[in-house]
Amino acid sequence: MVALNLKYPDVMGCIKVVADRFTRLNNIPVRIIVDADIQDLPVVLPDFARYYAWRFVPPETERIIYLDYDILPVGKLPRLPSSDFAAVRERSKLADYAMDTIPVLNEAKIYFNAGFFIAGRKFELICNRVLARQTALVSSASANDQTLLNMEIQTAIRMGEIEFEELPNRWCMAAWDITLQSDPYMVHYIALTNSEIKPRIVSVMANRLNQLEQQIGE
Amino acid sequence: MMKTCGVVSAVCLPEESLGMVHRVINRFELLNDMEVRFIGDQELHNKFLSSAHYARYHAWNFVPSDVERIIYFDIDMLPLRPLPELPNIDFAAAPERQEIYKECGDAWPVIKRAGLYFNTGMIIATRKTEPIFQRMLYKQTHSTGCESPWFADQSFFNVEVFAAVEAGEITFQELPRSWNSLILLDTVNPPPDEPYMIHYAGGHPSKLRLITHAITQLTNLERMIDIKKQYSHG
Repeated sequence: MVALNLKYPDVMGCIKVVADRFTRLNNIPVRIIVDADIQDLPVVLPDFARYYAWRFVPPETERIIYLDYDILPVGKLPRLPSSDFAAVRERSKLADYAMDTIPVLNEAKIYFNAGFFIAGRKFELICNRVLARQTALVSSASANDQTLLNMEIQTAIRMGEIEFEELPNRWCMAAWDITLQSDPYMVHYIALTNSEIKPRIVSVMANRLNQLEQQIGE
Repeated sequence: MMKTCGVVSAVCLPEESLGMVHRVINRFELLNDMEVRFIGDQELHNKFLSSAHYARYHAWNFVPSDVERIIYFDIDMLPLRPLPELPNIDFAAAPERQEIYKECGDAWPVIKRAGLYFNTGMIIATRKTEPIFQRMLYKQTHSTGCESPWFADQSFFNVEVFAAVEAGEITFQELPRSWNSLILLDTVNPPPDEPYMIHYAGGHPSKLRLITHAITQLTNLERMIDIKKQYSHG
């Protein structure tokens, strides 16, 4: 998880609540990337911090799960995919725009959301490429790190470097996709606001779910 | 025991949202063992001030005549826990953000004197306040009320309530933030430890979807706890 440039001191505590819930549900430790981690690195933009993820996990780590801090872990994730990179499809106008304008994405017919992904060691190479190229690529489109990642992943698939798996929507469901019948493993509070204080609402929910689950467990 | 009724307004919402609106209402009813009356487009049809923000002014018009107290809440609120004992006071509400109080306190002396500006997303009011609600409806249809278009209805509400408090017509109590937690807008106060109601104010149209999903999760867990209790007692 990444928690950078936080203006409000209580938000870090909220992010830890969410990280702890993820750990408890899935028995997977979470490393939070903070300002001090990236201050001396060449690319300090918060959106790009996720591409440094491999630096902050133990060297023997073979797979990472990256999470944005506005994602609520609802239930335990099922068996993790064994492919090199797996993510959930983005269903917004941004995805349509990227697929209409960028040939490699148009051919791939998929544009994933970079807020949650599962990646094997081979993904480290792609992270390094994204970091190296971002300074050369100037784009006015929003979420340009996400678009760059989509391009790099699709290029790597074409080159036969990695295998990609699209995860079903319920692995990390965006707010606008939820219906009365939805049963997601995680909820992405994507549409609520762009503010950094989203972890407040996610942590309040996480706390209440923890409390009720504890009552069932007792 | 004072007969109390919940009131919620859901005006100008798309048809497909109504299922979600009823989930919120049902959860509030179950948690608090209280009936909730619903103000929708149909109820406000042909009424003056039919916009979403002013629907709460009509609250007393949609409850049975023997109701002595109402709890009005916005539809973008998630009832997280049962409310504790209700205050025995004519009017109670939780504070807005401090910066709104500062801005509106400078504009209206009565708010400055009160030392508080409340959020109208959740209001607890006794029958004694009915004339104030009627007065607001009357005044608001005959004037534009106030200058700040962003908070026009809320500021007007604050002004009228505090004017009535000053005139000795009603008593007022400030509720703790846990009763109406504006945690997406409030950048000063950390979220309360155990909020009763979370107000998703300032969000996006998708917030109703998030609230509905949260309700499903909470309800499932609460049901499991009930089943476990029954099992252990049986």
